[in-house]
Amino acid sequence: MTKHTRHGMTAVDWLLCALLAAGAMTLTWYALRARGADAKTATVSYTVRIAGADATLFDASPTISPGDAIFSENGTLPLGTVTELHTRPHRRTVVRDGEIQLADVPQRIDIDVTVSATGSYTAGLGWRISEIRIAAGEMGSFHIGAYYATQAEIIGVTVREASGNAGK
Amino acid sequence: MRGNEGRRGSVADLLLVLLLLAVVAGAALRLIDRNADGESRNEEAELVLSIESLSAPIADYLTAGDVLYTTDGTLFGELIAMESTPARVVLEQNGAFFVGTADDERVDLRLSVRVQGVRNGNLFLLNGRISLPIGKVLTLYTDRVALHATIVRWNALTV
Repeated sequence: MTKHTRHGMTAVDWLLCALLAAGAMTLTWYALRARGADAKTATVSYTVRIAGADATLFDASPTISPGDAIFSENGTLPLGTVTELHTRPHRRTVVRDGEIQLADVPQRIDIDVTVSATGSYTAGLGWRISEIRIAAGEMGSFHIGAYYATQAEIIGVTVREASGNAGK
Repeated sequence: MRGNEGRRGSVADLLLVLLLLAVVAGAALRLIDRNADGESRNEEAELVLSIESLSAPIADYLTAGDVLYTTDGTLFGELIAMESTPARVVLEQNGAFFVGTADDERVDLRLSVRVQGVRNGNLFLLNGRISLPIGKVLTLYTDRVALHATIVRWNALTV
């Protein structure tokens, strides 16, 4: 025989409500975790190397300058602001006098562009800026200032002002 | 009136029974899945990986103890040792081949990684799911570094 409590609900009704609430809370927790709700944020500084760029493109006008914005390959996702810029001659290995040596390539330069942005960290998924993973060794194409860099490589990542214990 | 209450009660009872059945079925499926993928039979192995011509500053980020993950964030293993040598270069000129190590900014790496998985003959399956055959190129991540490494060999660490 079903025993009614106050509000006209039976013990089974209450148990059912409790189970449904528990299920809803579990689903919510999984959904938030999947969206990186437990991510930590920090200022991420990373360096992109543009290897073998045409030097003449940088002679006439400041194609890339500190303060310029950097965007993802399709130009829609902001990935930070340029803070530093270093150039050097582009070098390649060649055979000279029967030996392998490094030689400067005329009219070609390497440009190291250091960028700063706020990134978020999730265990296993590393540091991300606008959902793009920032890791040394990653290759990609970027819009940097007025320049479009193809197959540029991230050669360094530094994390500052980390909240929590994510930044080492 | 009484009939309606009785019907409501039995519908609630039925829902409760269905919920309990779903919970039991979920637990059973999870147990079956775990046994099927061999999690309970996992053993440790040392995986030797090779990376050619890596930019030296990137190699400097790696240290023993680093945890490696796959692209989707799945735990891969722990870096237990690494050996760095100047990157080997092979160039051809006028039909002759030259071998050297002129580029001091690049290194060849050998990584030893401790992984957990299941042995299946000559094959090793990471967590019983992902095959790790010799020659396979893997994309792995630490917190700061992306690596594209080739599997050279694996050795069982436990019997």
